[in-house]
Amino acid sequence: MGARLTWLFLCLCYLTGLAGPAFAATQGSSGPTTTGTTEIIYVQGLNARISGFQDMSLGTWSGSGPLTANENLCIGRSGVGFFGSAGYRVRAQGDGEPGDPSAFTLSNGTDLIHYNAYFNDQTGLTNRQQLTAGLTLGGQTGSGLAFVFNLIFGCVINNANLSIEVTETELQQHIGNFSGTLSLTLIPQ
Amino acid sequence: MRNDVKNFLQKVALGGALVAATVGAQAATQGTTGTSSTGTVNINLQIDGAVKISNLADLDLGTFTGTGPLTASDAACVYSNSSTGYSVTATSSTGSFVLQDAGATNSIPFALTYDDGGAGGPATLSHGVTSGTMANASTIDDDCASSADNATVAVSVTALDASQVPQGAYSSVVTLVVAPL
Repeated sequence: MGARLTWLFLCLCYLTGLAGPAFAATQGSSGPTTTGTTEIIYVQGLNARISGFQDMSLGTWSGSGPLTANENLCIGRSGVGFFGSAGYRVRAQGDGEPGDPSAFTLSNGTDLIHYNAYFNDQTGLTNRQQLTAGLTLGGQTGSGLAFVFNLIFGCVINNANLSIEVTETELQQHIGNFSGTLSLTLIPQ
Repeated sequence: MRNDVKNFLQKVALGGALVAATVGAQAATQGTTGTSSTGTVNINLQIDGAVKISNLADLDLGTFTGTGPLTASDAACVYSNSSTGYSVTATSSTGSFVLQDAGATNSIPFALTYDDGGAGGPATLSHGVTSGTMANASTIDDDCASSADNATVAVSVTALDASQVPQGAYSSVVTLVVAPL
């Protein structure tokens, strides 16, 4: 029972980022035997896990209007209690173009199409924020319960959204099959 | 209570396994646990050939006063995302290139030309026959908002044809079909 409680305590410390009880090394005293103690210090940094990604198909352009796609994601991080909240940052990177290695672009092998990318720290599109390729978007927040479960189990509770848009102006200047890769990095705060 | 927690964790584990299996079939990659975490998503898009003709206006030949010919023209915008050109096919609501009066009892032949702005000059179109390759379409925007119109449609009626029909109003609706090549 005591061992179980110890493990439970350590797990909670890991997940919530709490420091353990303070110890100090002690020195042995002279005698037929002597005992000293030393403190082993382990500092657990913040851990993060982003998951729930699926490929996005924008489909076939009909000749008018923009094309959009979005998907809900799972953000997990340590250092927050079940009932607390915490912040994080994200940074997105596309396939790039000459002069901008992070630009949000799709390619058909010869031509590039630019697209816009958006991140939301909740599911859906309401209040989403536009991403700038290669730059960090801060100020994203979420609840501890989702963070903890998503960190441990992967994509369990959707708590973010990634969306993209190709404008009509961009679409009508190109022809062919285009593809690209968007990378999204999660950095806990 | 303990069984409830156990059941919940089993469901969570099962859900995680199902998600992992589903995601595993995709090319997207999931982030792993670390001080930062990165996932990737592949994006696909297909754009087929697209064309559009716009900025058309009605052609008014006016009133025939005994001398001719009567002519009218209109600048139009053709957009195409293909660099290989386009074709034009013209048809008339009267079944041929003729203007008809209200009762469709009298007809005046007319000629229709199409000019893509190239060096070849205007091309005479035949009713229902697809033209040769046209060029100079806008590839930037589909209504030439950022450039000038790039095609001209013209119609003409000879004085001889106009003089051989009774007085009255004659009209036709011409349909232009533009297709990418």
